[in-house]
Amino acid sequence: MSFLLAVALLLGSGLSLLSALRLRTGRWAVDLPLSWFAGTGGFAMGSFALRFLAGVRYTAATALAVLALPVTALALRALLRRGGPAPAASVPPPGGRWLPRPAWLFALLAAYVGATTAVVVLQGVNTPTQTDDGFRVRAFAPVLAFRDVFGPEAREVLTMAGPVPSYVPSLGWRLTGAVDHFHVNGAILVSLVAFLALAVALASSRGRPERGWAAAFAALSLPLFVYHCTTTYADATLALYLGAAFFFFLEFGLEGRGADAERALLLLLAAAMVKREGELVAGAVGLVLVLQVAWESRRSDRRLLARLGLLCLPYLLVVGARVASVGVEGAFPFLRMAVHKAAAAPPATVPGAGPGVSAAAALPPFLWAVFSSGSAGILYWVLPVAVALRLREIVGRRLAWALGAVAVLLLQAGVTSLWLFPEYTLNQGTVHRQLIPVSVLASVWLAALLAGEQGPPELAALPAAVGPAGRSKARRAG
Amino acid sequence: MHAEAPPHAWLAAGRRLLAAAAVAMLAFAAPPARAESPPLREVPVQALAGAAKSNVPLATSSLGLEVGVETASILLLALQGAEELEIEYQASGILLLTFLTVDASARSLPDHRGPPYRYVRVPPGRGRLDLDLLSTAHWSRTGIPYLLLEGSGRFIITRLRYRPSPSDRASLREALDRAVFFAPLPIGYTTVNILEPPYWSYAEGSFLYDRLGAAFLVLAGILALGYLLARRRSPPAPALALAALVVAAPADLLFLGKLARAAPLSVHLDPEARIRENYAYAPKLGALAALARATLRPDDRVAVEGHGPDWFAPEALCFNLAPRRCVTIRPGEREYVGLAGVDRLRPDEVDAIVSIDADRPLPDGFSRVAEVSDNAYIARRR
Repeated sequence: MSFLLAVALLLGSGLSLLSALRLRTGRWAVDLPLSWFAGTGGFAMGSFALRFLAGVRYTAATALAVLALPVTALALRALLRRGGPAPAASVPPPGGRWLPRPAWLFALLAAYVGATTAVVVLQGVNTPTQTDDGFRVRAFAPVLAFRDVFGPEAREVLTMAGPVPSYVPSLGWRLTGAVDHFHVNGAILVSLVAFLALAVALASSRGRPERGWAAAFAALSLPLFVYHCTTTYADATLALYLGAAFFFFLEFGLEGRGADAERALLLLLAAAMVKREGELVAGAVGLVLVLQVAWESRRSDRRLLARLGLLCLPYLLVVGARVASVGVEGAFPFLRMAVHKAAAAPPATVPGAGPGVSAAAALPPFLWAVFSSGSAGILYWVLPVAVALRLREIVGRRLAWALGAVAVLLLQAGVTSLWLFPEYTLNQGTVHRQLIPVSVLASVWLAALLAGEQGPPELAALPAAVGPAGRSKARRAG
Repeated sequence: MHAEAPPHAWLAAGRRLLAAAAVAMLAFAAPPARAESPPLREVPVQALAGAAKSNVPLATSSLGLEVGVETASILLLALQGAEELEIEYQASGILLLTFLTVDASARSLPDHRGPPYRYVRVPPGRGRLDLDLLSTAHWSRTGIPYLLLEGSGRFIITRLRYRPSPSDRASLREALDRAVFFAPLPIGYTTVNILEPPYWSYAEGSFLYDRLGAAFLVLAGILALGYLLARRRSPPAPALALAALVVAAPADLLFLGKLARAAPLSVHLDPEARIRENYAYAPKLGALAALARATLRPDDRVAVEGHGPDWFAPEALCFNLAPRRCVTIRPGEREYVGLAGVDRLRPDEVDAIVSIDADRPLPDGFSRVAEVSDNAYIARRR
């Protein structure tokens, strides 16, 4: 029960946060799953910063206070506005269509999505934590957050896990005092359900339910991702937060609504708080998003760019809290590793492969991981073919920026797997898990390309402000 | 506004895809076919003892061949080339049976937890186990079945039948390919970085997704050519989407089936029951963890110990006992350390010990307060 209470509070806090930032879409089916990602991100950010920057103990009272922050902000804004002109009501965009076409085909996809989700939820909720990294880091970090006693080792664990996987599962424990380890599993499963619901609801609300169902199907066609939704590792969680952000990134590209770019950035900030790697991958996607906004507003209104900058500011609290917790070197371990690697003159020594093995030796196992291992299904066979055959459409429908984000992530994974840590590629180690977030984003992108073409008839009748021709006018529309 | 495909675009794409698929099918073989298998053969219970080697004393009685299990008991059955075992049994206690195949002439035994990791929990009482040996690690015609019983209890084989492998090479290859193709996903505590790669043909060493990828390339190529000849630039998105779907869907269903067969899908609302029942490959550990959670006080400072260098049981116990402070006993150390080095306790600070398959006797000053078996118990300082 404490888990359900925590979920309800996080959803409420998330909805308030979206309202305070005026980022609600006006459709409950979209806003509810969106509020899970926003609410958990906001709660984790607040709790982490309060503990390590302000030194405030993590208690039920402080947890509730953090959850209530967006509500307070919303109330304050309403108070300040009293007497002034009423804010414009959030009007849902027109063009919603909830039944995909052809129905028989998408009924099959929906059946697969439903069956797979059921198996994953049952397995996930049933399986106790069972792996070394789960015991020592991923599922242990929430316990440390709950205990709230931090020696250097505990701080290190919390930093490795990240604020979202540490604080979100511990909320129910903190409120009731009873620790149920399965809340860690539960938090991942709720994220999966929210991700799938967001995929379908968002695309449907924009008149293209085919794209939503195809995205859900494509993501659930990634075997290693599906499996990791049932473990207490954080790779699937990272992919889910990134994927949720990417839905809005794509929508911004397709329809040009500025609010979608803001929603995407908000969720990317939450993704950055999942694992140490979160900042790297979310940062890369966020950078491409900001570049797209900057490029498209180069001759017009730059207010969206400024709003994105403002949205990023609170993240400094997380960086500050992390530096306060583990010091500057501990706070940026990848930077330290990259510098160390670049400075190392002799070629890497790969355990089990003898000295002097170059990164080129890791290329065949990397390609095997991508194409043959089955970790990502047939995604990487389809992706290049689809890009090659639909190049004009990619540019025409403004999917190129989002594809750029996928490419940057793939490049990042390639550099890490071939240059920074070739040993974990040669032994088929972490390379597969590192590709999970890339694969989820790539599958969502592919679904948008291949299943998003059949637009609704209603779209043609929309005012120009909503279509690409009127994008600059529609930039501030919800 | 982007170009809209007319409502019949999917159907038109589907028709073209069907034609393309028919051509593509010619290039690829059908999935592994069912091979003719020889019938099961009976091994008389009296002959069982002679056909088995073990690390523990074996006893024969009117019931059958009896194996006592304290920690781990191994049974090597001299049934060279067996592809399937059907064991009728009578069991007591908490037992896990891991099965694989080993080369009869090998000097050392392989890592039984290496992929593919095949195990089955043995329900107490009378029952029957059907063990598919073809999908286990190291299966060969010259290999023999290796059964590892872990936990605590008694296992009596009351009837044993086995299926020898087909004598002709083609049938054997088909049987092996089929067994590996449809085998459940092997999940263990080392299933983290990669899943068991799906094979198209295990005997040939060819992978499923290489085949499917190639099939998609052929389909897409035929579609591209077809549309080019029809004076269109490239196949529309629905055609490509359907091609990807046609290729991906069977593999998705196969994966879902393999995952579902390996997953604990029963519903236990009580989290304690989930801990007790769902450490599928370590049932004694699950039972002990649940018992320790129920027995120990929230403020107890706990030390755990396992068998030799085993890290899994101590880590799993400490994790499941959190948020209690918990460390692993390292004899001779002045301070014991817990998960990730977070908890540290001196031996004299320990209130309770949780022990599973430990090689050492209980330290002085502690006495048992609860137990799952002789070697899986909870002790408290007197």
